[in-house]
Amino acid sequence: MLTRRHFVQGSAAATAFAALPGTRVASAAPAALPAHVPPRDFAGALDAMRAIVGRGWVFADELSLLGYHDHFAMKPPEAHAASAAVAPRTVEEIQRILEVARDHGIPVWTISTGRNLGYGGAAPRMAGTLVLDLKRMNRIVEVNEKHAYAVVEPGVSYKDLYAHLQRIGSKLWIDCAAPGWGGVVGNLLDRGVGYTPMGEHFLLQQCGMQVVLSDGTVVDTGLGGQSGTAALHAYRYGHGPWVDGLFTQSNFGVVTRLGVQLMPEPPGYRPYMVTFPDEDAIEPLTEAIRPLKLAQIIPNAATSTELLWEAAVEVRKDQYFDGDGPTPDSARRKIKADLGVGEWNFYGALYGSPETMDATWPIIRDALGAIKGARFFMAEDKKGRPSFEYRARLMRGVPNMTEFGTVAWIPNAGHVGFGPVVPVDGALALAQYRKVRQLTNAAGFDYFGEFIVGWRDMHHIFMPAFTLGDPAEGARLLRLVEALVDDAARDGYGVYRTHLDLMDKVAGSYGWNEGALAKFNGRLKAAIDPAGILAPGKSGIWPAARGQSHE
Amino acid sequence: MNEGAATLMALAVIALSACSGNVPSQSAKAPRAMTGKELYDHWCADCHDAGPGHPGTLRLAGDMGEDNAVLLKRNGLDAETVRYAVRNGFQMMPPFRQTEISDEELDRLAVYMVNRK
Repeated sequence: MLTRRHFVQGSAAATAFAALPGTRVASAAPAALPAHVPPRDFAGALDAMRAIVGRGWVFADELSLLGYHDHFAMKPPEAHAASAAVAPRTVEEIQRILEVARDHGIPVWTISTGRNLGYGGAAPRMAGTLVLDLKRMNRIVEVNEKHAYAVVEPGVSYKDLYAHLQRIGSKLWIDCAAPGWGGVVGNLLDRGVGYTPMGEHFLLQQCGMQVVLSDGTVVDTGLGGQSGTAALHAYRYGHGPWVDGLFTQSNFGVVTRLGVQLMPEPPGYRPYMVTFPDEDAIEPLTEAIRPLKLAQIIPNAATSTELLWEAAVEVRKDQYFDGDGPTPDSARRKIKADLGVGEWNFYGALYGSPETMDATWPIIRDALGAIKGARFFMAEDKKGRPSFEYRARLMRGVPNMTEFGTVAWIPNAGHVGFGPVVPVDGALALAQYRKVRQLTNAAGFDYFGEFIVGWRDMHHIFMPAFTLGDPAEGARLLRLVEALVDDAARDGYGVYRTHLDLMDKVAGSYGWNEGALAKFNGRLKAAIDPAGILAPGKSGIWPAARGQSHE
Repeated sequence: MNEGAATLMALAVIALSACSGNVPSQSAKAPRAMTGKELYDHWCADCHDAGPGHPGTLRLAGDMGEDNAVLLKRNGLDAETVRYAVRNGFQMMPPFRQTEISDEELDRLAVYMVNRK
């Protein structure tokens, strides 16, 4: 086994790596033991888990645990260091692992594919937590062509599901997040979004969960509560309270299987792009989009993307500007000219028969064409341009990694997500863009943002790139995103999803009526997970026994 | 990792059923170990292939020059480097866990990448 130390000391390749600008050697945080668990007890618990899953599927050595760090961490790795990781293969193994965890008071953080980069990756919120890695649970249990759904386990990535559907000749489309290595289950449970007409994942796709509670009880939600039910993955509510939402962005259970409704391949598909040269165009653009989305004339989760996001999937910052700080206007003008993109770039698609698409296109063209400087592009106009082609793939559910170029913008970079939600309102979009960009540029970073219009709301996805391994820069970015959360709360914008480092702050921003919502979540936590072992701190929800101080 | 476990990891996805009906209707084929090329195509190609739209290639072109940007065409790439980068991560690329790429798979991947040129 090649260790990091051996590599650094002995490999010629290490020298080549180390010579790269901004390179850091990955630093492993020492494994942190769970608080209040004596080392001997913890070692015994790991032995018990090895007996359950096999010796090779419990990871406690420094090198293996590197994969359970937040690779894009703003804080030093110690802040979110896992104590160990265990990778079960079955529900029964999960039940037995949780029994061991309960017996020893070991906190457990569940990951599916572990690719939630920008929000914490595979790392736990609280140092010393054991990671329950469900990547090995990667079975596609069922594909139902007639009723257009699949049933998957948490380890299935978008790429896995897409490849499987291709292999069996399915005519069903998936809807994927931009990085194709993401997990179908994990993204949906974090309430992520995609780009097809099924882009609101939880709203439009989720249909039937299987969940293991911390006491080992297995619950099937919705119609799954009835044995042998015929419409389990066609009707999501069943009878009585609909509990599925409790298992999203939460720490109330371990989701082990999910029904995912899919989109039948339409008879036709025409992606398009509309560019706008002015920064202020986001206001009239958003106003034009709203009625088209409400009426479903634009059926897909459509995006209005800012200039540098467009640029970063094709070029690097140093090709236009090699100084410090935000990209200056002179460089931005050259990028626009070179790449043929705008300050804002709208992506949408038509789906259906040629007659249907021919009928709706003039409505869209006339609405967006009324905005100053609008230029329209179809696929044949943008052949070979990655910024268009990866969007065209995403809007028909073809996973790819092109958007990861946003961290290729500068050397040795990561990024972090900040996602406030606003109604589809032009004035709000412009105000939010201006404020976030101004604060971001003042902090020395480039603004990377887009507005995704799922249906009746916009997710403002802001993902600034920063230099990894530079503690000062990481701390500066953390201060920025903390300020953005505070600022959004003051302006009445809720954040829809957040990074490990911001979970308490974002939860605190939902503080109406003396924090009634957080208190309700706490009561649910105490009732559903009385041992308090599942994912302490997820979404700012902590077990009562840990109080409100968790670091 | 034990050999039995490695065998179970042989395919990234095991499909238990397919197509019609809402009950499993088609058993999976027996798991087969992915070849080095299949592993590269599954895990690496989207970022590291030649041409635009591949973020790893885009970044490496800036860091190491166009001649060293495409991993499969790079001079001096050795198996140790591949193994190191996969397990430790490298700059923007995060590490890959053994639950994603097993040690045995990593060996096959490294051999393929080194000998591909």
